[in-house]
Amino acid sequence: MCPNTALLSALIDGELPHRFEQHITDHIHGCSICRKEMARFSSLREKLQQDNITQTEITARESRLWRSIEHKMLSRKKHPLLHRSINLPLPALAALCLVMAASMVTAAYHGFAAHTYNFPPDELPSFSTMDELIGYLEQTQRTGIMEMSLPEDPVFLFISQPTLMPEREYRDAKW
Amino acid sequence: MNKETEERESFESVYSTLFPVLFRVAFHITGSGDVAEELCQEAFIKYFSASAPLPTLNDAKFWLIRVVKNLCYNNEKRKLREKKAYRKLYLTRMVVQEQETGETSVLKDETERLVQKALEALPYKLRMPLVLKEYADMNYRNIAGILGITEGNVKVRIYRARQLLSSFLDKGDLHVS
Repeated sequence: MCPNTALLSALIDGELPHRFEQHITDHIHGCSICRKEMARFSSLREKLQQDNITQTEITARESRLWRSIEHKMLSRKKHPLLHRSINLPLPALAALCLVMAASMVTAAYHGFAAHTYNFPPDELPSFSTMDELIGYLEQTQRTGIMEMSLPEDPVFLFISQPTLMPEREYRDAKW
Repeated sequence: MNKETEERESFESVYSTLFPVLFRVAFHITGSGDVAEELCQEAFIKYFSASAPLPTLNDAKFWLIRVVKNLCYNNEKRKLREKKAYRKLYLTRMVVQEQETGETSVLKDETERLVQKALEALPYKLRMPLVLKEYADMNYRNIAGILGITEGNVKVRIYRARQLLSSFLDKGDLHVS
């Protein structure tokens, strides 16, 4: 019985285990069909090897390409750190992203808090209008967010414009 | 001798040894000398930029062929897209032209050109293992590693490629792609 022709193709490539190789070679000697098939594969192989690329063409292309690559190599300055690839496992990458996000949030919070300034009660002059307050802040070059608390007294009435005053005066005032 | 000079010399030696192999592989996959040259250039630049040179010439060959294989694949996809777009636009005119040029080229062309044409007519997944076997002189195990398939699959694909190639050459029917 003739072997599968795929085995003959593998035999041409020298990819059969030794025991099969011997067995199939023996069979081919006595089988005209398999010999013909082998001859077909061998002829195809020869045709493929006779490609139309000449050694001269390869040499010419090789030196032309080398000049181009050399030029690119010289024009590029390699930085040792930038050109190193780092293999990072996915969980480690995810953890790194989380840590970075957490530090960014913390930094943003602290940065925000750093711009808050608590005026000491003695330092704050009294202002009757918002423009005066803004003028004062501009003079002292203090920027940020100012929190203003309105009286929590239930009898507080909205009469005219709210007045700005130090907390101490507000506490001492008789409402 | 500093490290940079050492790396450069090693790269030069890899280049001069492997360029012919790489060029042949790329040429027989793409069917164009200029495209093959371009792909080789890209592969070697990637090799140089990657990191320190690989320890052995065999490792470098394996690495570079893998890169060229990927570049060829991208090129193949681009070619197919262009072909599709071209067919869509000039379908009628192309059918007439194909009949004329196909017949004349089969009659006039030399054996090498016919073989190359037949090779190009093979489906990409059959062409790639055959080209790696014939022109890069690689064994089934290495081809399987490069293509990400099993050794058995490589054996079957090479066999099918040979059968198809043989039938193309026997019939002179090179318009199957």
